Amino acid sequence: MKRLAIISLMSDGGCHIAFLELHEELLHLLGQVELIHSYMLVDRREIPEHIDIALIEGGVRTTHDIELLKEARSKSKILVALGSCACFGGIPGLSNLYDLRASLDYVYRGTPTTTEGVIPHENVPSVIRVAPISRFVQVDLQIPGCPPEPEEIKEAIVSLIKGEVPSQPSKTVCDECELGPPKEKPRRLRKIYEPPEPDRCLLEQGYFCMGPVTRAGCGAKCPRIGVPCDGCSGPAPKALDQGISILDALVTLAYKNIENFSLKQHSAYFYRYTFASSVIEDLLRKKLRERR
Amino acid sequence: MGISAVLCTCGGVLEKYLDFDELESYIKRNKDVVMVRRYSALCTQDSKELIQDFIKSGAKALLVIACSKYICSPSLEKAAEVLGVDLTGLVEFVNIREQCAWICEDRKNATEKALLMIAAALEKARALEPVKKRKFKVKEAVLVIGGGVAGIQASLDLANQGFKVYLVESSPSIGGTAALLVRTFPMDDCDCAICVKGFRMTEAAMHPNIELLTYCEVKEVKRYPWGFKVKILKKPRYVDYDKCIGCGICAEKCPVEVPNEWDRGLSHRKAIYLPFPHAIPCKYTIDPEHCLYFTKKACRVCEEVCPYNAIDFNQKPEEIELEVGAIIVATGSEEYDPSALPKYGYGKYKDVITQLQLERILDPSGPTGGRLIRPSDGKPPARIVMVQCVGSRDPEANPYCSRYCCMEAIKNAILIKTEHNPEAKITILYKDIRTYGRLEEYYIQAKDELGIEFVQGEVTKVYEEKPGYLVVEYQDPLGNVHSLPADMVVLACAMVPRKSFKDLAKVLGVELDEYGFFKELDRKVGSVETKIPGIFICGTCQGPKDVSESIAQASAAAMLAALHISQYREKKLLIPTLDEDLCGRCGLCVLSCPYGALTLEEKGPIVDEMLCQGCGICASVCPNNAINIVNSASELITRQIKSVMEEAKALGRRVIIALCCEECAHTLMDTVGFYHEEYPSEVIPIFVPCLGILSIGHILMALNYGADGVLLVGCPLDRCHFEQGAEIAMRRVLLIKSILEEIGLIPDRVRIVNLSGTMVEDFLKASRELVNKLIGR
Repeated sequence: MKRLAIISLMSDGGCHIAFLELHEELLHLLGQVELIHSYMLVDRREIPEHIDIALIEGGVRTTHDIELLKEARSKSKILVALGSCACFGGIPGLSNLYDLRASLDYVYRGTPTTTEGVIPHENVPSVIRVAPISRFVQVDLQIPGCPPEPEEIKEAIVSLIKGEVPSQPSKTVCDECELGPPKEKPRRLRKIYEPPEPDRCLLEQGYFCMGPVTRAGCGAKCPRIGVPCDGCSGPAPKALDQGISILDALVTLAYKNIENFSLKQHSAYFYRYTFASSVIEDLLRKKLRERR
Repeated sequence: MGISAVLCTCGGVLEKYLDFDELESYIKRNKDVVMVRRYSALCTQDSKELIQDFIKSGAKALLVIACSKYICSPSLEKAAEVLGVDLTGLVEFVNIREQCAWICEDRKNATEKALLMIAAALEKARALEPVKKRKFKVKEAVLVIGGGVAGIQASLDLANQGFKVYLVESSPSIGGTAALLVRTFPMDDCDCAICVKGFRMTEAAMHPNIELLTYCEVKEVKRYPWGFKVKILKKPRYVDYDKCIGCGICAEKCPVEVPNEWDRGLSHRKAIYLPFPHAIPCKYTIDPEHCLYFTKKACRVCEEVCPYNAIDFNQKPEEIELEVGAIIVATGSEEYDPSALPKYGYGKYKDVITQLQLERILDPSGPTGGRLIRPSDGKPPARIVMVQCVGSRDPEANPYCSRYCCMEAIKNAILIKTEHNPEAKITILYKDIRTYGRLEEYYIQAKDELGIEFVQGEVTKVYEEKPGYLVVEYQDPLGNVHSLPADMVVLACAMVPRKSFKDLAKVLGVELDEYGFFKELDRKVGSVETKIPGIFICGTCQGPKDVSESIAQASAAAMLAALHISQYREKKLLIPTLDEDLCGRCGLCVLSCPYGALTLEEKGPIVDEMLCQGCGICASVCPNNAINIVNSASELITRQIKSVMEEAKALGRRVIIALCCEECAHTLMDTVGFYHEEYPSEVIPIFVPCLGILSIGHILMALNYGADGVLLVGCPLDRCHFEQGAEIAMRRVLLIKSILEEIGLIPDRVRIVNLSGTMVEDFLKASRELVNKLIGR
């Protein structure tokens, strides 16, 4: 039987939960695969040897994460990035917009409720810029999403057990969206709290919907209930960069509204999950390297 | 498979500038290259040999490393045609002469720059695919907008060549402004405007090839390579066009009187009216704004009295669809309304009139039957002061000279002196007299023979001393103020664009100049063309001119329109292809296309191959790289940038990537070379169809791959060959700059210049500044 491990890095455990959300299907799955490591399900501290499939949950935030990740890679045949933190850095990646030292200072000393705070430095790993795991190890498969779809996780594992390449969506959220394509350019940009019209493309209505630039696979759950897509599944499969994709489009559709675009103010729209793997992050890292 | 690479030494001349051996050996190291050969004159005798070699090599794509493609491609195309090879889409040119040898600092730099340019071109050559062609005929019909003197002339010139002409006029009659003039200069024996014009008006109306569409407006124009689909709104006359014979009984009985706009308010017309007695077509029109039936649901007298039952209150606006190969805009202009400048007293004093009103007064078919009397009390004026440059050459109104007004004033003054009142005292108050060419004869006649007084000065005030006694106060060039008593003051008003031009320009997709006249392609060499091929302009809609100039320009426009519609054209289908597996049907491409060439179908966007111009804006907005222009795929552009940067790294060279459009920018890059103007060899051009194809990602990736800077070179914003490409690129660059600034990188690393093909100095300045700032040289 194939040996499956779930290894958690910087994460809130949501992707782990997504795996558990398979409910009774999990029982079928566990008949085909041996779960040898999972901090939620298996009492075992060390990463075991001879892993067939390693699911990595969470992105890289500390030097400890790098160690764990490298160990997991060396012990696994197939390594899968599970969830958008592992794939792209996830929401924590937005902190890369700010200076690391300043962020630490704020978190440990600057928040209103802190008095005489200290930045931990003894016996703790160093905090580094948030990064997707692919920056440190070779990743064989990505299952993005925040959290990923349980069904997609299952199907991926089943395929990998059989030695097949899992089939993954090649299109974007719009393809699965029932609201249909926009018929005209948005007249004005709407705020999220304004109630949307039913059965009309949210982008066309002026909501900031990331559907067009986001990988399919979720079944367009959010737009279906009138909530604009926030792009949790990351860029479209053939896209260079999710945030740039939507900016490129808005330049022709609603330029007036993004004219005064600011990264720090608006990245939570454009780059909520993918800033740490964006082209802009590459430029920032390059700059930091050059400074050193 | 494979690339055949050929180099041309330009008769050996280029070997002085470039190390051809090194270039050859670099090319040979590329695995896809199956043949490398050096020639000395691809532009002439070698072209045939080259094509034969290419056929023998079995290569798929041809990489031509030579001079400007505008010079060497015609002979290659010809040779290919003779030898029966279709190379459409399969040739990539690298211009190592104008874009490299002639502009680099020295041989080493030139050779290395050539190498980087070749690296980008090899990347492209690898990806080249054959491009299909479509041959088509332009629609043999022309739409002329405006039935004034220019529109009529253009229509007749075209109709007489056998072309179908649709002449659209927004008012109920053709004739335009010139039909209101009593005479036109130069004045010969019998030149009463309406006779000269009337003859042609009738001719236009009777011509079997001209379809007159009066009381119509152009509502929508859609561009196709074969011409234009035009939607025309036919306004209801409420009079049956076929039944009405123009007897006028209806107008006699109509109880409503309205100021007559054709007599410039000096007379009245009825609510059912003929604009002027010799109107063509001679069909009455009901003015619904004043007709009692439409305003109060009453009256209907006209309906009762019409002997032919022609009145039809139920008429509705009609939409007419036309297909034409060319459009001529001849919408004329308006007379400036001088009441905007209170010092002239126009609108305040009845006897202050405009030259056009004077034309009506002098016209035998005008409001006074041709008697020279003043509007206030009907007395013949003895002292007339004509004021020039009202609203022209005036920074407060219009800075330009209206050209025709000096002559119009002199003509009317002569007419008054010779035909109405030889004793009249006429003073012409002028800024400068501009009676250019042979028109000077009239000025001399007026001044020396007829005793018309010419006084230089500027009006400061027109006022009434007592009723009927006007005084014109003016300042002479020395600053002294004088007064001139007058019975009547005639203002020579500027020729100004019509207010409707804005909407029409939008519908047509052409531009207006800074004053609001229709803008020509080029003031020197393209005065009747617009930026849209197939749309021409003539007459005063393009700027002030007189009748003879309008007619001459109309004939020129007709000639070019005829040329435009009588040719077979071939379109290279440089259009997008779709990867259905990737398309999420988000519709962004459809909404972004400046030509409306895409429609969203079941499996994704479908392109109208005739409407599409291949700008690639669709590809730039596609989030999943599903739609790409053939031979200019987004990923290919990224690969080209990458391969230049990798090669540069190997050579230890620093690079500014110059992303240039294939239109203005390509011409410009060649022009700079023709002038042998040196600019830093760090600038490496990569060509794309239009800057609109470039996404923000392309530019940021160039920086990521290690380029010191990125320079975008495209057409001037108002002259982009793809409507919005330059504008969109500009917006993207502005966004990138603000991003770079925010993350603490030098925003100056990205720059866009919008230059036409001849703006050499601006390009040199931009490239030198960029290199100076970023590389420090």
